[in-house]
Amino acid sequence: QEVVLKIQTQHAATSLQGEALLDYAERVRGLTDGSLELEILTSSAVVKASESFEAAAMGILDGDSSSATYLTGKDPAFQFYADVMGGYDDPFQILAWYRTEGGLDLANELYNAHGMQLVGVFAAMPEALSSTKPLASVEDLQGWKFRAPPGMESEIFSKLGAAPVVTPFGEVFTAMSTGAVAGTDASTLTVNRGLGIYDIAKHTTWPGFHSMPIEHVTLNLAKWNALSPQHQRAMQVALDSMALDMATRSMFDDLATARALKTEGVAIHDWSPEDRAEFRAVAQETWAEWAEKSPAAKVAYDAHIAFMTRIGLIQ
Amino acid sequence: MEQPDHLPQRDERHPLDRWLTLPAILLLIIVGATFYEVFCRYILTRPTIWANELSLMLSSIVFIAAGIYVMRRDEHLRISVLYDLSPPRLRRVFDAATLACTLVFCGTAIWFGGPTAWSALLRWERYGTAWNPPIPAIIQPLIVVAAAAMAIFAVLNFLRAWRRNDPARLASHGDVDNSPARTTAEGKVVLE
Amino acid sequence: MTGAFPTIALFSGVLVLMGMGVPLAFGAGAAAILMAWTIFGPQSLGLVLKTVYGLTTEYVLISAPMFILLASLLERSNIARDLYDSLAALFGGIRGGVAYVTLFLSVILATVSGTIGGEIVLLGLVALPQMMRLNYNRKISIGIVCAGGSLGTMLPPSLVLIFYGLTADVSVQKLFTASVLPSVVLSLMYLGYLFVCFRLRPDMAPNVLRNRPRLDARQILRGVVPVLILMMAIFGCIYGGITSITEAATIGVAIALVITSARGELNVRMLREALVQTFRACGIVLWVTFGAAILISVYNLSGGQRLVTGWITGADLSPLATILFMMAILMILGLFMDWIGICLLCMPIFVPIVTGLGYDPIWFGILFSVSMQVAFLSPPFGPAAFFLKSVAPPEITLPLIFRSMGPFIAIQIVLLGLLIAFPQLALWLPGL
Ligand code: NA
Ligand code: NA
Repeated sequence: QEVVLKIQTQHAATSLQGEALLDYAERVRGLTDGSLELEILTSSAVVKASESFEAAAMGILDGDSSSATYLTGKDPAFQFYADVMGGYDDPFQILAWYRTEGGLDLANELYNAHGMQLVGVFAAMPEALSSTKPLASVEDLQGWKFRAPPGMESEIFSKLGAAPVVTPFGEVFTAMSTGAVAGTDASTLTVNRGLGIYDIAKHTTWPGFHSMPIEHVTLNLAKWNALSPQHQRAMQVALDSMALDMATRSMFDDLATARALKTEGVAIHDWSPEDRAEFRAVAQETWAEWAEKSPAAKVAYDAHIAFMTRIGLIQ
Repeated sequence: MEQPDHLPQRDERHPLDRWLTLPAILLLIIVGATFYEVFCRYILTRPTIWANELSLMLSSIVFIAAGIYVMRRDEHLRISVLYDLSPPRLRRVFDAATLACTLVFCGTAIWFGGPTAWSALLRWERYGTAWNPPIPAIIQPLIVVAAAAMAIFAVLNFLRAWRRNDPARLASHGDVDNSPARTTAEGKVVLE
Repeated sequence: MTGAFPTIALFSGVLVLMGMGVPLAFGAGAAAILMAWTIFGPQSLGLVLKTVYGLTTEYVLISAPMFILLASLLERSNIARDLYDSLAALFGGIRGGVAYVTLFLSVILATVSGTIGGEIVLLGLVALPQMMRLNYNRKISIGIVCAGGSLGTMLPPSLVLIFYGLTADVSVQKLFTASVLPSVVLSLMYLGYLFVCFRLRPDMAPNVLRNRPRLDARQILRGVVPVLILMMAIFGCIYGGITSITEAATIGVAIALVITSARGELNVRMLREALVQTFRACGIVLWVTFGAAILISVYNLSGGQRLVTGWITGADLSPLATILFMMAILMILGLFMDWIGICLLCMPIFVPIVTGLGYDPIWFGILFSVSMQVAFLSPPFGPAAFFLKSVAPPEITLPLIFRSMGPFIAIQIVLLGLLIAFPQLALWLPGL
């Protein structure tokens, strides 16, 4: 008989991630001959984004596709499954970490302990910083006031001399045009342009380096265990193929957007390898601090460091 | 001084109100914290990490606690046109519906939210932000406590309305509208 | 369980409970709980705690109590009364002068306010009692306070437009520019309506003040200057790039405290009363919001999103008819729902259809913000009415407030018609 799973995401149906998830549901339907239906509830239709993981664990929803960034209050280790800030260069590296380097099993030790199963992850290209002032190198971060979410990101940028301001994202546009902040962290180059950020901010860093949020697809553990092995496998395989498509699409979209932005008079700052290394060094310090916050965080940190060293991202 | 005082005069000095309105002071702390934050950020260009998160936590407490106070006064928003036009017996039916709905609401918050709130409190769950205040650990149990308090006041409000709508008492007094708590001017305005 | 049945059962249940005089928060909440229990079982009921918790920890909500506290302080300190006396001295010679002044004030306040609530409370505390004291027609007074007070969500910095921009992926800056001309037109139509009313029915506005006081310098100093300082401070905080909109409200409160103590009016009793009044208004309005949010959560859980998509794609209409149909859906949802819910629920569905038909999403955003003006005023869930009721004297009842809205809702619908007929009204300014 047909199984229906309700999965909530905070992304709108028309956004990059929202479209990808609807497409994911389509793939699962195809793989299971329509016997497994994922009902994607977009735009936080049922509960606030930060509550959807727990809502799924409680059984209000069946699953949650948001980000582990909302879960760092439960265990700081979730930061390493949400965004290894300043770590990876593109989504293919992080997908490899989860799929072939044992990341998924490691993550599931943590997710299972909170009553949830991590089905898999997907990610777009690293985000681009937007600014009303030039932002060509690490030096330009000195005194740079920008909107950032609180947490690891604010810590890294503070250490580099920037002044992160915690402001609701909705107020960023007014704040940037009046000068209350000089820039913002938002999303990929392509999404930023869609939001109209570059109507105000005429400088951006690209290719991105500071943040690449990992989107997860999770299911209530009991409901996951109740699925047939075929359905479980279909959910994973469909997610893997969707993630690959999304990463590829995001990469080419950004290339096209970068071309368009140049003709629109937006300055694109491609940081030098030295500046990137300096940023990553400070980021590494911050990861190490976070690794001390819980045993699970240490485990995740070690696994990331081992992989990054192996592929030469860090020494 | 004919300045209207919009706080209704009735029950003005109810002994509980002093305690129930105490959380309103938190609003002043929010003002202070925000002022300090803007000063630090704009003058010293060194924003605090705690001001915004403290304001968030305090305002949540205010929002939740205010519900108890409003329930104590039986002032949660309602449209009472039909109620005021109804005979006392029917009013008692409506009052019972109000009590049932309120108990369903509060009971659900307590029974199905209680375990989550309790575990957040036990684990002292934090907000996961820079300053990392224990917002989930405090606010979720507070909602459960507020629901319990509101349920109690709902029962008291119901009993008061029940006595007020006693057909025998009303027949002897002949006043339907001058009773204290539940009577609003809604009905009169409709008939104006 | 997708389909019309849960929708109809849910909303008719809420209507029946509301008719019985059950508080809106608990009527909506209980109906939603019963529906969730029936369709999804007891596991889903953790929703109540999660929804209430999610909403109370919403950062943007902090600005609401702050704008209300600001309003309370102004009212208690007699600043507002002094301002009104000054304005009455200036405009008292015109029939309906104070009503025009209220409208004018509401437009000015709209440029410093982004949310529904604070502005209405301020006008409700400051302007409404004064108009009643001067024997203005009650319905006109209430209507102008609610309709004028809602303008803050149309003129920049409007959170409605910001939210629309984020949900629909369009430029917020362009939305702000596009909203200016329609807001001016709307205000002028309100003004025209007042003018016609006072002409045709002179009894609606009291007689011109006979012994109106002469305006002296001291009165200006006490009445006009404090409000000017306050407005410039809030204005400066937002547009001068010092604070966010949310923080600006709080700074406004701090400045009001300074001004009232400079006027020698600040004391513990006055402060306590203002705080308690704000506290009470928060309790009243927030808990209705909680109830409505739970209702919408359950509605969405039972397939509300898909239902709306199905309605539109299944109707097979001409482009213009599709837009009109969408406006009808927005209006119907606006009867019950909060604008954030409507925006999140509909815009991801509507905007791709609108752009697919060749319309400009900026223009549609303005249509959305105007239809939300209607939603703010329309019963049974009309936030403007709730905010006014939370501070109005008892004789201003909820049904009276809602009955006062009629002409103003009609004017808003006329503006919608104008915008649909002449899209340039919205698109001319951003196109420059
Ligand atoms: Na505004
Ligand atoms: Na409405």
